[in-house]
Amino acid sequence: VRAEEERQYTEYVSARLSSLRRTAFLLCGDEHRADDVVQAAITKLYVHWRRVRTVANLDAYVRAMVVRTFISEQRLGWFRRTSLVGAPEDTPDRPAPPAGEVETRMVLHRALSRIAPKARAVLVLRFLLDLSVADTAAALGCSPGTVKSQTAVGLANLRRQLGDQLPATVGKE
Amino acid sequence: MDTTGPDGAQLLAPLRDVEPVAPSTVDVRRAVLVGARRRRTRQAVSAAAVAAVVALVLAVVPAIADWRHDSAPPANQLTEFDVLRQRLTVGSAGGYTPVSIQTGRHEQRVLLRIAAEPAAAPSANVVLYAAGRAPELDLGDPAPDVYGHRSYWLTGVPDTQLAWEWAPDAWVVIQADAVGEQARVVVHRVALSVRTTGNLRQRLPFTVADGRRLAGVITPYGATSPSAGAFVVLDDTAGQVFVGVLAGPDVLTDVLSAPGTPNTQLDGRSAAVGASTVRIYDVGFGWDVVAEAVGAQPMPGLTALAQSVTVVAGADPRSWTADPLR
Repeated sequence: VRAEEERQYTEYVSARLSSLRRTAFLLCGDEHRADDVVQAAITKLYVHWRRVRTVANLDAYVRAMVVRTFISEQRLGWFRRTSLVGAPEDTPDRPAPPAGEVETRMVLHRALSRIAPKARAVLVLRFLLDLSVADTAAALGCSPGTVKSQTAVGLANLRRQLGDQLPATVGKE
Repeated sequence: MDTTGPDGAQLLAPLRDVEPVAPSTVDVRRAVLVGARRRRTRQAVSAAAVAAVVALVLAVVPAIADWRHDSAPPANQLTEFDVLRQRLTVGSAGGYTPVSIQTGRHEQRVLLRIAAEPAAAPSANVVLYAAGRAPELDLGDPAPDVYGHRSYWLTGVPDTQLAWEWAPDAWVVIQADAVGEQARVVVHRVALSVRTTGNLRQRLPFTVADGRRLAGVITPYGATSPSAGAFVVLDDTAGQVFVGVLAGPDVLTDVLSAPGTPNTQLDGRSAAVGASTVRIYDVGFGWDVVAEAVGAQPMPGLTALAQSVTVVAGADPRSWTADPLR
């Protein structure tokens, strides 16, 4: 029985690893921290796998685990210390987007990473992962009203962070 | 009504196709191994808890004196701390020595550095959480008790994070950058130097005029630490602001930015004013005033807040004030 559970778990997680890493990366703004968050979340998932594998929307449940793990680690305040390694030297190159796009993304991602964790999670879930207000509230374990207020606070802070660094192309499409 | 939807989607649109570039370091096999170990631990703890309840029901338990090293008051008295009182104390142990203490309503945090390296940045911390205030902790392997309190290694990276329940639903967590085979031994030694029953009044070498709520104070640890500065932490509607004095680089916190370059004059003194930081140089007693907004930059009124600081004492903590807010 356990072997079958493990197989199901491994199959499930492996198929979604890319999506989970992307969610964590958008939240953390740092690839190594993002991997730490995903590692912690999928470990928790294994502990509870027997119970949660049959929940109605398992993908949403696991995404919520990643988001909550991220917020927990921020509260612990250890995030500066747990990213102990730099990028491997043999990291393969990806096709480089145009320079302007790269700059815009970097500026925006850096600014996003300075927003308070809960507001940042709200912005990522709503505007980058396209969750509704209700689904965002469910993922964060808060009320829809809190999601709306955190959205307003997060966007205001993001604009303040960006200031005149905001490249002309952002928000003008 | 929520009118932020289109605005937010447009603002964040450039990040929609962002992906991690570095190869994944997530290890599914390791998650299975660690997860299985945690499952076994949880089952063992549950079984032990049931056995303990049965034993209590069956046995007549005499009233005994609390023999533990630091007995804790009931949890319902400990859901919040007094921000002007230091409850958490930490000794020099395991090669670490405390540098600073930060109080707060829900937690108190002591930063530690390697004892043999006086100029080193803090590389360990001990956090005391009030009852019900700790974040979700991934309890892993059982660790040796800390003066009779159940104790666990936390799962995650690094695997030398130690937590123990010092009172019902109230935890202490230690994280250190210790590495090597003895890392857990070192961390446990630090744990054995921790006490949770302190009641020391916090004092600061300045006063500040501000209507914001006091969220905590940061001071050097103990009378023997070099008094390199001190801060109050104030709540703001969109974050927190640290304001205080420094006599050089910041060694008390792992939060503040590096000092800026003077770019203006405030009250006749050189000052570095940035979007989220203000430093006014040489305000007296050898201090610079520093104010930094965390979580909401720029913060309106930050410069005025820095200007409202009045230093009242030098580096000797014995002459500091216990009432920092005017």
